[in-house]
Amino acid sequence: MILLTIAAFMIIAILELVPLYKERGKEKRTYLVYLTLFLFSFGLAVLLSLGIRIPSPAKAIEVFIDAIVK
Amino acid sequence: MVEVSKETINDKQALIMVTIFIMGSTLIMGVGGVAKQDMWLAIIAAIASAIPVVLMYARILSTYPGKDLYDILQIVFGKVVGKIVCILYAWFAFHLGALVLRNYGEFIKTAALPETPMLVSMLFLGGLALWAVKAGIEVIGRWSEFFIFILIGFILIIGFLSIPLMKPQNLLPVLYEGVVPVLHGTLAALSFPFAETVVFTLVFSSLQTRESPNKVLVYGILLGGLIVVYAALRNVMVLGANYISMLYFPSYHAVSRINVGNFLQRLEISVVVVFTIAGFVKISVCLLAACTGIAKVFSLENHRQIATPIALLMVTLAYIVYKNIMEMMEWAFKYWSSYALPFQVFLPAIILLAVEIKSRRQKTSGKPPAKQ
Amino acid sequence: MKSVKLLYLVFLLSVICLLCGCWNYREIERLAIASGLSLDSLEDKIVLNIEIANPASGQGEGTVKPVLLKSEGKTVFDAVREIIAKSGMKVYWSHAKVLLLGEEMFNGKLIGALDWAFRDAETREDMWVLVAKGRKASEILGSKPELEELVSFQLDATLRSQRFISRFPSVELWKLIDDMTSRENTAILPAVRLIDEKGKTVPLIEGCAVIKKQKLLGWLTAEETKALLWIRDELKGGLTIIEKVGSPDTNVTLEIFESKTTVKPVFEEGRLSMAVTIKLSVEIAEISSSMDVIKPDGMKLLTAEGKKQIKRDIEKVVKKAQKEFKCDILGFGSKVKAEMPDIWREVEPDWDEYLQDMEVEVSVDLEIRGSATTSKPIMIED
Repeated sequence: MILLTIAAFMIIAILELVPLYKERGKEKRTYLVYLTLFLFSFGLAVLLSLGIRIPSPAKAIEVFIDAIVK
Repeated sequence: MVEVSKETINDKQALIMVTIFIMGSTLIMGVGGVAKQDMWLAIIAAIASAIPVVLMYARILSTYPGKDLYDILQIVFGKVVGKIVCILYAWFAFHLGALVLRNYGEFIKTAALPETPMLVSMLFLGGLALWAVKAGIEVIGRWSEFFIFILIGFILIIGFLSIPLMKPQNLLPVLYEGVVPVLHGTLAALSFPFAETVVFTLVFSSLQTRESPNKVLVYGILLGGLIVVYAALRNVMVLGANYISMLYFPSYHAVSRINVGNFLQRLEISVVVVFTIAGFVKISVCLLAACTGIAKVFSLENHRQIATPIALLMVTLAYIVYKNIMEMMEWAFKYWSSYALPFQVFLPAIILLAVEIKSRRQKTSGKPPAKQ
Repeated sequence: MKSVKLLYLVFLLSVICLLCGCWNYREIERLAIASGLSLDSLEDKIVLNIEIANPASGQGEGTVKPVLLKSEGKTVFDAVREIIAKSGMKVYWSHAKVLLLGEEMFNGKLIGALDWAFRDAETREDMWVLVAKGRKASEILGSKPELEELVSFQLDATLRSQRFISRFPSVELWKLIDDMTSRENTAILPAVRLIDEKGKTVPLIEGCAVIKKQKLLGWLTAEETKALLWIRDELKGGLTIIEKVGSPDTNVTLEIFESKTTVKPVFEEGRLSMAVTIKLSVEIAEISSSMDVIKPDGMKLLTAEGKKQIKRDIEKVVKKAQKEFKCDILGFGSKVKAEMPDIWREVEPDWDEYLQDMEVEVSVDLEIRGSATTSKPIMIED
């Protein structure tokens, strides 16, 4: 499962990240934003495939709403 | 790199997109369940109260033609505050897309493929939405224009076939438990799905004329609302309010009752088809809005280049956002209204106020007015 | 550019590997297609019998032979999975047509019996539900029907033809659950028993069982069931026999073509009563003597007699529901709720008691619209 995840992300990286890296001179910001988002989603995907439970943002919003409404 | 040209969609396509967006997950999940047999009343009330809300969106948009809400926010509130609100809206669109994706995943898992991991169906739909976003809003518009016929066709056929199953008595008594549950239902139906059209203010920068946003949003709400009311009436008349309260996906059960001469039966797959088409449009629009938002916040030229990781994150969020279908339903009916209404009503009201003040001031200071 | 193309190739190849058939595929030979199931209660266990439609191969024409699988479990689903342990087959439920309940299931086990069938994604909620009368449900499922090979198919065919006889109700699973949750927790279910015929035991559906809150209160005969269906406006056709019209040997059989019942609650002087109006459109199907009931004054006599007898039958079952079962199988409660919500709020808490002495006014509107193909009875002079 984890190997599959890494393979999938590698394919995406080669298809999209590498061309952006080559053009980073012109569009440095796009490259940086892409890299951050990409690494973030990669990290989450790896954690998920390792079977680690990631806390849902829904819980935080719940607490927030309860605090405001009550 | 691809040069970003100005994309335009015509009013008809935009209207159809709004219509399909409203049908989105609503046809499956059912809305206004707290109002029981009066849910159709609640939905009609919600449509009525949604119209002033969308007129507000339309006014914001038509004050600055050619700009979307992200641009307007930065013009009106300045760079810093504007960007913070932009991030909030990008998150809202992103979250909404993830929730619809999750609804889709749960539905497919419950109704069709119980042993297939939910992630698989969500990945496929998420991938399609990514493709649509990369292709651009023009393509989504044209796609909607084509597929609306399939949707309407299915809905009409199913509608005719379920007429013999309808028991109008199920609608009685009207207002048995008073007005309060209906008002609760109205609020719920306003925040899901009608005022969710706020997402369109984030992507409609390219409508034909200044009056377009008005026309598109109001007629889209009316047309989509008509279909939602029809679905609610059908479900109540076929299943009864009591029975609906036991089900996760009422439409699926209502359609599965159809049996014409033991020959035309098991039509519930049509519900899956309708949901897939409508859900796809809704998710694509949300994803597009989220990508545009991130691009605008970081002043990137092309939102398409960052679409892939955002789509991946959306699928991830959809996967982790709830533990199970019970939590999803509780969230949809308990927290969604209070979470979404600030984005849908309160913030736009403030924005409209700021827009008005700004344009008045421009008028008095002698600059060319931004609106007529 | 070349490397990108290569990557696409790798990607496509890996997709092929992933998508070669569904991972939860099931081969048709390994599939046991259930056509019906029966549930009995044995002490604290549930006894499940499944009738499997087994396509018998060879010998030219393909026939379907029944195979009965039996298992026990603490819950229904437990018993269902027990089948795998016993036979290695995973039962496929989407074609299951009937659910037979044993009488003992009505000792507080009814919800347990229905919940799985209602909840599971593979079972369909338009499955017929029946109650086994006098025998265990498994015995009925194991009997040998006359024409069909499978008991389930026979029961399914009979229940589908319900509108031609109306001697029993046809109740789908969803209807049962809908009735039990909304209709003052009462429901009726068709009763099936075994009869001996030419040395064979065959299943026969007749009459119905009256159920209130998981309890079986009693049975109604075929005639009473018909009258009850009339009141509930669920009668779609069938026969009614008008006895002794004019002379003791004249029985006229009428075939019902249209039947529409309206139940209207009436509130007068602080008392609630019910007005039941039945509009019937019938044809004369059979006359058992030479008495001419087709000529105008004979017709008048027949109409009057018919109205009287139908009214009598209906009043009898109303009395029975009020006094013997003391529950609202007549469906009056939902009518009051729909039409007089304010009054319903008051009477709802003790509706069953209120119902017991409620006045019910029955009126029958009988229209004889024809006499099939003959215009006169067979005349034999005395």
